Amino acid sequence: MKKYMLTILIMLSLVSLIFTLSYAWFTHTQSHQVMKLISKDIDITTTANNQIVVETIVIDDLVMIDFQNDFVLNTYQVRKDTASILEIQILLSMDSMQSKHFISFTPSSSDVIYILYADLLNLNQSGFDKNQIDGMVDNLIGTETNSQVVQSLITLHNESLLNDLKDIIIKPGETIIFYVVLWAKDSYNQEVDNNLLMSIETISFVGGPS
Amino acid sequence: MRTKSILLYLLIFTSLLSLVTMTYAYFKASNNYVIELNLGGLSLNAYISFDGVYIDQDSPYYDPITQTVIVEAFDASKPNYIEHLKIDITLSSKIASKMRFMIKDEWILTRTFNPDAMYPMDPVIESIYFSEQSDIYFPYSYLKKGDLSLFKFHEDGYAYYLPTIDKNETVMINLISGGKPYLVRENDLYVETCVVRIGLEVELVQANRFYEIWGIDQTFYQS
Repeated sequence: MKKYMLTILIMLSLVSLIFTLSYAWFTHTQSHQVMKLISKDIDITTTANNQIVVETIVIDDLVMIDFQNDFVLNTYQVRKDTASILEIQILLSMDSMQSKHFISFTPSSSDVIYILYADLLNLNQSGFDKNQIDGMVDNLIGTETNSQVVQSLITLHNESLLNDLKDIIIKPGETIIFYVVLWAKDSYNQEVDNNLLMSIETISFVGGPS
Repeated sequence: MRTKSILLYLLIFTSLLSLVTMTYAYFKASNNYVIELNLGGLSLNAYISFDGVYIDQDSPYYDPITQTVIVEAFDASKPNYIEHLKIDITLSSKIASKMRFMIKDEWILTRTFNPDAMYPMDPVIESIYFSEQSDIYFPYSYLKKGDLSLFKFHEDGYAYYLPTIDKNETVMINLISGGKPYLVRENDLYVETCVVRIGLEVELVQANRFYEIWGIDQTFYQS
């Protein structure tokens, strides 16, 4: 009987030891995470054309163009005059940790033409006007005149710029500024296709995906 | 005992995994915005006045049926006398635009015969046509041009505003600034009166579409 009691006691002690160890280990881990949760946060303020955006940005000066003549060839020199320019500013709050912005755009229709522009060397400075549009587009499409190829070049350009933006580490309190330059193709149907979804995922630089 | 150990390890691993997932989720903030895309609009206002007094749609000098302004062409004592007429327009556009306008003026002469005459006749109403006047007048009209130095008159009867009205720009233009009275006759047989009915047609199109919509040459503004 004593032998049994001794065995049970030893087993209980061992189990108790395991619990204690486990408990101690969990306590340590949780304390560490809780401290991070309280001290840091990620918060951004987005403005579009100097107005704070809650959910919706309204563009009411979109112009329909003949993609081949007005955009690709710029036959009548109205490409810059027909563009809608949207300035987006993203401010990372002072309470946030160093972060990266993963930005994406999803148009509801392929009849929306949009080109992204950012001065990657001066991301916190605004200053883009319509007089830069022709130069920007000419640099982007070169001498290409095939509208489908031009469309692909625009897509590649936008993806490349968004990739560049996501590699930039933003410090708390810093603002990044970029521009969305828009047109609508002749086939654009406002009654059906009338939005462009912009998604901004802000992820902490430490521990976040690259 | 081995099963219990595995379970214990599994429990610890799951707990850790749970913590890691929670940590990762916390450091990520997602914001979605809808950018509503609306085509740009245009707006036009016309300001019609006689000697500085503006008229509206309820004025006796405006005919809402024919949408014309009624102007007295000979009697200087009337409030709507032609020399006091002024028509301005303001244009504003959300998109770069081109503008043209046409004045449609009809000069109506009414000859009323003396009822005491030997052979009384019904009144005669006729339209008056003018030859080309000097450059200060609209073509084939006694209406005086306003500040139209930036306009080009085309053979189709429209006057085209040469600059492009820029996006979000508001332009005010004085189209008509008075006019020359028409000299009517009055004698023992009849009395003449003359009124002008003025209609105004203003068109705005987005800048890159003028040649398609208006059917003019693409180089029109360059020549």
